[in-house]
Amino acid sequence: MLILTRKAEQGIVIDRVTTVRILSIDGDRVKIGIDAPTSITVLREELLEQVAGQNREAAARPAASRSAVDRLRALRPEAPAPARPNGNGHNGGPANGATDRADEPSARPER
Amino acid sequence: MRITTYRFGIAEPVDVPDEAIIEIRPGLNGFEHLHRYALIAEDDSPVEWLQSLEEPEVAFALLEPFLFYPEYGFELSDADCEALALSRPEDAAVRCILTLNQSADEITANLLAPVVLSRTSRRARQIVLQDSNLPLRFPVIEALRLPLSA
Repeated sequence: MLILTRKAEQGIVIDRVTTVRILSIDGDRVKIGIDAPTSITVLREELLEQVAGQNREAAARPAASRSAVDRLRALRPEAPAPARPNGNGHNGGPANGATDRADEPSARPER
Repeated sequence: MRITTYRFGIAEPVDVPDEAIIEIRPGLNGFEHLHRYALIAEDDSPVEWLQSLEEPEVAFALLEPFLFYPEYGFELSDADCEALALSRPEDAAVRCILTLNQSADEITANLLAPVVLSRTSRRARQIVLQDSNLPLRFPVIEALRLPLSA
């Protein structure tokens, strides 16, 4: 691991395209500015850990699988898709119109 | 292609068409080592399964978020569109990973980190919607106002 000491307003350049700058230091809080190409995903580490933990919890529930499938049967996918308003405070507009299930890449299990 | 699924706890062979095989890179958070999955639909339920081809014991229940959270929406970054080889919104499918519990009324959906799938390239990614305030555990049954089972 590379360890560097930086003062406020000093920066680090990664691979010539990403700049990480210390904007301000206030007690135990450091404000950091990151200037990176859009191809680079920048996420808070603890958020990724939360998602990983939820995925692990989601993966291992075969005992509950059948009842969940039954429980959600009432949600008919054939039902007309509800209208989706544009932007409601959730990071902009909808990313897709993926309610048409006609060419879903799904397989029906053989029984 | 014949695969094995343990989604109900016992080994079950399932035939899936090639179109149902999808690649997830980088791997799902916490499952970075797994990249190949099959999407398996249930006959009479909107639940689908993301079944690992590399570890048959690993399967995720998926649900289309618009079925229980109609106002769901987010913007996909250029980087994610590029990685998925996604050029048109209609080629994308969005699914939320469900966490199932012994009580069928406690099913939660991860709205914070949906799986976005390209129907054309057969690639998928889990997208973390940082700063969206969307929940990691959204109670599906309550949201649907389905009568709770006894």
